[in-house]
Amino acid sequence: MIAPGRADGGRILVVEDDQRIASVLVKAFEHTGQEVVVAADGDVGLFLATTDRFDVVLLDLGLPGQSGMALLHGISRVRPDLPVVMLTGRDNPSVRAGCMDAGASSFVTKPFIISELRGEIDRFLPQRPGSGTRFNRVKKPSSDSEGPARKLMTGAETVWVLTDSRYLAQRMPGALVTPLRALHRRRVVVVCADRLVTEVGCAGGWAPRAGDLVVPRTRSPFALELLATAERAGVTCLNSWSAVAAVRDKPRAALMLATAGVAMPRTWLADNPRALRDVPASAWPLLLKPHLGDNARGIVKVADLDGLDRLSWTDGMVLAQQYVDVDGVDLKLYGAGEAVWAVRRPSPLRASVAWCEPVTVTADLRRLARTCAATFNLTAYGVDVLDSAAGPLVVDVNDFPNYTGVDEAPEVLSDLVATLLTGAVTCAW
Amino acid sequence: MRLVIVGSGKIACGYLAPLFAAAGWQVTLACRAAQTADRIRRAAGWGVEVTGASPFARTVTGVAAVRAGSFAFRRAVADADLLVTAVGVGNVATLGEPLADALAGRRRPIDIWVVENGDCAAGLRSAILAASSGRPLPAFGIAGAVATVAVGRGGWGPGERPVFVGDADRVLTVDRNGLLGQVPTLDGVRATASYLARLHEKLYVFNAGHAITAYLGWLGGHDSMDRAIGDPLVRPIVVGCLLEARRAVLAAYPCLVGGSEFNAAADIHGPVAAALARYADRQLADPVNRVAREPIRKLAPGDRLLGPVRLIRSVGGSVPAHFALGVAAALLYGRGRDDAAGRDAQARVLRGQLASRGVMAVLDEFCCLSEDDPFTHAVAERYRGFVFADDAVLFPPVHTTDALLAPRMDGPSTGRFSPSAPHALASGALRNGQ
Repeated sequence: MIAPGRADGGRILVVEDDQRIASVLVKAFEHTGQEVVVAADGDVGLFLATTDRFDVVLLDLGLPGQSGMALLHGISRVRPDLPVVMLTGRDNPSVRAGCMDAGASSFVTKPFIISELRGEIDRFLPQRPGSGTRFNRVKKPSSDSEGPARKLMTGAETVWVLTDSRYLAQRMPGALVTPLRALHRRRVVVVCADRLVTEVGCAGGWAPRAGDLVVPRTRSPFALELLATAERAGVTCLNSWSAVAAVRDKPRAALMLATAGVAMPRTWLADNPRALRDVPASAWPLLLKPHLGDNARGIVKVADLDGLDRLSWTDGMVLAQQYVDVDGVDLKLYGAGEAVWAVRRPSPLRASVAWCEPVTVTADLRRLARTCAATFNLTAYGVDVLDSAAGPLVVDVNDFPNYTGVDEAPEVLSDLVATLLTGAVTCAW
Repeated sequence: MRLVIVGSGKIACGYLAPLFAAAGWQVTLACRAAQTADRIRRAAGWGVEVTGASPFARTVTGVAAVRAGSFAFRRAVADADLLVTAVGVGNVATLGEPLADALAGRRRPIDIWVVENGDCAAGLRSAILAASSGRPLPAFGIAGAVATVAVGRGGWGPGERPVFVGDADRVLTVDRNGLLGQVPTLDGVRATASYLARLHEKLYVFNAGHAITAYLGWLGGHDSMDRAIGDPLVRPIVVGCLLEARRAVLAAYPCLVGGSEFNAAADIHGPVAAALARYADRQLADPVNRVAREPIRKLAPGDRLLGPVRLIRSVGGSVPAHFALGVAAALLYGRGRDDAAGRDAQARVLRGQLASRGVMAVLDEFCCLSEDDPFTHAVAERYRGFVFADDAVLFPPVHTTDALLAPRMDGPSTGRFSPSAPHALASGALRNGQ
């Protein structure tokens, strides 16, 4: 849909049936350049929150019809990246905890002081040129009077989940967001790189600061730049820019794995597929992979030279691997810090039925996973393995997979992220 | 193949004639005024622009023009393979006589498609038969058809060759039940056995939201639809209307559900978002005054403002608060300004009646809303809640205190909804002066 003209100071959706309060909020925020849209009930609020572009939602818990809590669940399900600030007269801890569990970013009780409410909202509004960083209105506790543990209680540190829109429909990173908010009480901002526009020299909607943690699950080149920007600003990333860039570059990744002594199918690199004519006949069929990998996109099986002649290839440089027949079943290793899991599932090249079954992680598999992780310095990773007669052969390594079939992965990852965040805060301060 | 289109307005010239001409049909436009037919002939063509993600422009040429009722018209109808009308709901009844005359001069059967924002086919058949005065007519099929396109600009006024600008949503759904022959294969044209569902889907959702955007937008000082729907005060109210109406249409016509089972995102939010995007089409720059004109017609019981209200309540919905505000806004069209809206003849009649007899009487006379109907009170309360300040208009709240407490209604006359209630004029959101 075509959104209304964007206000300089950002757009706020207020879902509030009390017209007196709504009017006060409209005046307060429009005065400082924000565009405020007021939805008088949950039905309209859910529609606007999930179809229009807002920087933050201010949501009254006590709405007529669809309750504020139901609306919060609806927003969190469809737009986990959209910050929601709850506004309510019910100030008991269980209500607050329920809201935070359901994905609220913040919680303000009535009666509220407008300047304090503004402070909560401002944290989620885009930075305007010359106004400093996005969070500079948040009061930072004095470092000489409070230790790191105390500082963590402020909740000012943010987990920035950097992803692509298409991943919002997948398990990850959405499944990570819930335990981070509910179990660890972390402020989580989900940013879709493909929906973001940043002005060079300005933070825009991407403004992690030292002390925050960035969790990238993305295949976007633009996101790599954002990751690099964050690292230059001293922000810790779950997987670093260099690690993500290395596994995305398949020829480079293959060379690094080979150097590390990881067993792989026979692999050739060439400027273009025509150059593969010299690959020995005994090595065919080949799997041709594009230079920049994105799951199984663009992978082609070529049986022989005739197939090579018929091939239409637009990806430039090519990585070719000897095809190893494993009956269409892949072994997938998942890792998160020290944890390693393994599942069997159909090869994405032949998958017609989705299934997934857990596999016991043997010492060899654990060693293989950790070798791959160490090669690229990855914290959250996946390793595609062919369980061949000659032993496990690694065909791909990727950063932050979907952890399909691993039920406990979100919780383990959230613990890992929380631990890293603690370390990051300690280091930064 | 030969086609006669009765009408030379936006739908005829911005959609129907280009559609058939592009498919190789020989098209004749039949105009109400001889002067218009002359202009079309002298211009020897006109421009058509289609907005959207892949906008394009083309010139329509080779289209003949005659005056409806003339000898040339009768001859064109005698030779035609298909007859299509697009004259506006209010003018359909006037076609009885010229069409009866023309049909009396042919022997072959023919189909007539009535492309209007209303269920007019049966009425036109009656008008033709009444006007035939016993003369034998050939067999003719007559069927309603729903055109989804919005043509915002273009017309045959004095001046240069016109350009008709419309959006890219170009589907024509023809009621197969009323036809003698098959619907020809044409781009975007399809036959349906669920004509009324399709008509109400368009009229009660898209057209309803369109009209309410225009009325609220006019009160907000906007002159084009894209600006009106971009107004942060207007947009949520229109969204509320669209959601209320879309839900009711789906409840009344389950055949409109897209997949094997209902999906709120696909069946409700998707079409509502699509409608909003079409209102916001900046290339179309549809004038507010075009969409808002003739408010009495639009306030008629079965039309786009009250038709959906009736449907909402017939499927068990509560008093639709957003529609109540939209209808109240329609009553105020043209108030206090000497612009095109202020000069709209129907708007002037409404203002006079409101001033002399009051809102309840106007709702009774023009909308058939009785005094004991809770929706009548909901409209009246919101009507009285608008405040015309010097440089801005204060909108009343969507939900008044009592509306929020209103129980879900079992039907249109379950009068448990109590009006009363002072609503805070001062609490209306103050518009930025525009």
